[in-house]
Amino acid sequence: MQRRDCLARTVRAIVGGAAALPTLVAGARRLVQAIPGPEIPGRGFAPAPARGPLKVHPANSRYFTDGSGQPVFLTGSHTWAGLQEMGFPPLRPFAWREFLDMLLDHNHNCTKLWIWLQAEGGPWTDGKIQFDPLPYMRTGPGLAMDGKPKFDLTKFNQAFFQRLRSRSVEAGERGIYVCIQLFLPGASEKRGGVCDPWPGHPYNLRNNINGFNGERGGTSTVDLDRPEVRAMQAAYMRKVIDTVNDLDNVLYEAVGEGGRRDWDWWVVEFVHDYEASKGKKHPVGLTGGGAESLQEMLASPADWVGAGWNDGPFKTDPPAWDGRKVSILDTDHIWGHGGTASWAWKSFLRGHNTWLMDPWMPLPGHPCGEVNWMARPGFSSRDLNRREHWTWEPVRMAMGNTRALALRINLMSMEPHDELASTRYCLANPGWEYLVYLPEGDEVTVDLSAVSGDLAVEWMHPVEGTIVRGGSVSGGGKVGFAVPFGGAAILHARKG
Amino acid sequence: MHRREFLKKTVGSTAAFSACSSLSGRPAPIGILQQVPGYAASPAPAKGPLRVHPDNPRYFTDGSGKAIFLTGAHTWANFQDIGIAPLPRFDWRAYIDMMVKHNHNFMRFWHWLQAAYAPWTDEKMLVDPLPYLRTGPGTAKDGLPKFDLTKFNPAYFDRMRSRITDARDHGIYAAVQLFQSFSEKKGGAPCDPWVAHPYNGANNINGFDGEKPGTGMVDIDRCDVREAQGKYLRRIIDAVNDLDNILYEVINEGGNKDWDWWVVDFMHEQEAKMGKTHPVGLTQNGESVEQMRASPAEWISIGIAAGQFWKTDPPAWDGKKVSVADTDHLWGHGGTPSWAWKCFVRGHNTLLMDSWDPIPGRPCGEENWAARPGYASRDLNRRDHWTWEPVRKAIGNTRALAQRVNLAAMVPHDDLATTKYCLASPGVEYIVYLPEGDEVTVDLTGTSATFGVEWMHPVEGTITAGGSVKGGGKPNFAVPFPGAATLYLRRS
Repeated sequence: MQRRDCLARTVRAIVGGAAALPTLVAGARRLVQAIPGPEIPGRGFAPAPARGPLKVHPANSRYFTDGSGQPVFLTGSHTWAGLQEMGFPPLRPFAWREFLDMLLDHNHNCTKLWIWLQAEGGPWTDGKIQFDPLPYMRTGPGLAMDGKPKFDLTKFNQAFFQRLRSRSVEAGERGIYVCIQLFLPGASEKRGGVCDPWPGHPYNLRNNINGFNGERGGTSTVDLDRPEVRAMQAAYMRKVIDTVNDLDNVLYEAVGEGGRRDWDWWVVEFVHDYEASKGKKHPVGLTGGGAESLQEMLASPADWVGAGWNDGPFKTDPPAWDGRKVSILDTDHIWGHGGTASWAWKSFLRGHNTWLMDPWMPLPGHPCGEVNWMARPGFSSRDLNRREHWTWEPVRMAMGNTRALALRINLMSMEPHDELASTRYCLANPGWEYLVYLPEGDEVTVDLSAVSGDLAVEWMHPVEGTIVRGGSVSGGGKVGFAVPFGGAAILHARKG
Repeated sequence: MHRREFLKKTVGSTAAFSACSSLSGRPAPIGILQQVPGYAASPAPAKGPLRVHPDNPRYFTDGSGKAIFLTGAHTWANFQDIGIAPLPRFDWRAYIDMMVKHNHNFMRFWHWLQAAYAPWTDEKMLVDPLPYLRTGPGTAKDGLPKFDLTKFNPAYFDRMRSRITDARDHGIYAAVQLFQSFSEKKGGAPCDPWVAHPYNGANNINGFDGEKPGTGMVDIDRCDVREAQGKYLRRIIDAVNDLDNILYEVINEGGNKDWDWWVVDFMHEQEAKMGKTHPVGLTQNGESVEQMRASPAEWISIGIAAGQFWKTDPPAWDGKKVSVADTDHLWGHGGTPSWAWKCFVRGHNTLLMDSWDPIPGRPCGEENWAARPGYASRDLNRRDHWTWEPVRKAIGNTRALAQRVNLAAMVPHDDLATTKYCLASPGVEYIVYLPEGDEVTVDLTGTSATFGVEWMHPVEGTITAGGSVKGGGKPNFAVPFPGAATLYLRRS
């Protein structure tokens, strides 16, 4: 079945069933008021709530814009337990406020809300980790494989959707966008490894009272081609959209690290089509690392894409972005656990938005195979799965610093211009403003041929965010700049 | 006249000089091993003159048969005292101690021929001692007695010998700079040391005017000039030929192809008559890299004219000559730890032009150590500027690793590491540099051996053990600390 056929069928199916679904958001819609956020020491900019749903900026399609007309550079940490508690029982509440405070402290303006569909287990662990709350009610009769009441797939769990909304609202009040991850086939189902969360999945025949078997025969994965599966998924998406459609600070990630092209695109089009009938439309994205290539994602109906580890040198030398789609690079799809401050800066100067997969709350459970956060050749005691590991704070800080600069420049007119700087990391509005990254510091030659008159120069330390004034420089030719401190640096030169 | 003709003539004229000086034939020194904290090996004196390693011509070797990686800091006053009156005396002992402490084994031994002034300053920079005696009669332009170009100054050659001997005793090689282009007027530079040059017709009692008319520069194409230079070269050879720890550098950033090659040939032929032969090198000025590689020199130093990438991405070296990458010819004042490591794993030897003793005098024009766009208060011309110590330490660390590997078998292999910085003897040992840390994939497909893994912090030199890894694949190594790193794999 082709995605267009499936789309028509599932839209019909859920429109019919929609009346039966409780409408959580009725009466709860309100526009987030634009209130100034707290001052962020060392950065000088306070986050402000969104002024409208994001849409691709008409003048610079590398970025979104809200109702202000200004481009919005997105960057921030996200963590697996940002929406649902996860771990071994007794589950401890995730310190959501503390997480928001951390985002604000670091000048972040975007996070992801992970949605886990399974009640128990994960493909990375043989531990019986649990998730709560879940999208579907567990009414019984009868017990599911985890010993708890079976799911009723016709009843959505108010607690889950209330939390989805309240966390989205709270983030929005702090000027933080939330990207709602609609599906996680790679993390809620079996994924090649030895551990299998399918026994905890609500679409497992033994786990619901509806006689619904969503499995592709014997694979422990959801059969994405079957109409009844898509109908079930569509009902769920409809419920998610109903819950948050009125909020401005929302994006969607159709599927974390991809299903397959046909299904991925169906999800994107479904959200587009359903939101078209609602008050607001929000960007929908596809992310790599799964079955789709970057080129396929770029050809898709998605509004944004996130390249995967297999799409090119996105760890060390992310290519200059042409804005065919908005690009949001996520360390999750490039490293898994990992990332560097240099990556954050290179990505920013090459026209990408950025996310850090942050073990602010560690991914729970004892690994059942090789995982990307543990021992690696040369580093046998490696454990990146904790918030205080030395890997993380420099990346968190660097991302916040990229945003601080993004807010100070005329981002709308800035484009990657590798050819203008000898380091080849340059975001510029030639003649007016230049941001240059020097991964190894020392010096850089910048082509200021397009500049008439003088530019004011300042330097930023990429991690500490400290600013060092650099006087002024005359344009009209190539200028060799020297960095006034040791190590990597950012040069910012602009008119007046 | 071509260099071969010149050579015949100048060799003939110097034949009248003593066949060997009273200093020749001294016994080789006994090695004095000193423990260097934090480094794997202690400095040891040379075991014979350097010659190009027969198996790995990226490096020299001495009598031991081992490949010798050369690296170190050099500074302008390390031979003659230079400065504004009253002339400061260079603290040689402190300088040598610094080199030993940093695990360096190589310096350029700077030479100045002018009695005063320099192209970069309008102040009266003084130089002492000088190669020629100032006997008079008459007064030179600097107000002191004129030079007698037939009489060499024993103090100059005694100091040359004593300092090189002392360097030898500390395991340090010295590249004796034979000529100095900054002793003459530099094109474009407003300040002129020619007024105090001994070859200035007004400054010597011999009626010798070595100037190319109106240029403030020595006319190196003239036969009589080369004769005078040949005598001077012969005197240097007499002073230090018996020492194992020397190399020669034709001229600091000067000359031209014909004259450069003449000097190289002259040194070769003269030393061939003496007890020992030593490597002679060229530093890039007007010559292209290919011309230097085609020359009779044993080693070369590439200049920035060859491309800015020599600062940031020095190419893998094939060993057609021994390469000594010198920050002096790339930055002037400058350098980074990353450059030191990249050069090392790409098969180059390295030198740091170190402001250990600042270059003296108030600049009379734009200089490469002072203000630059973006850094108005920049002053690299002092030893304690934050630029220097990380580079001093990094080059010492490269040597520490060089001494632990079988360098004679190590070749740059950009293809074996995702960072492209890999010096390896495939299947035996690998040194990989990660300029930005994080991780690197190394191609170990050609071997089934097991390798011990070790990390070095490129500046601090701290070692972190990394367990072991089995060959046969392309393992992806994770760095156990933040920032740049060096990975060392050695077959167990």
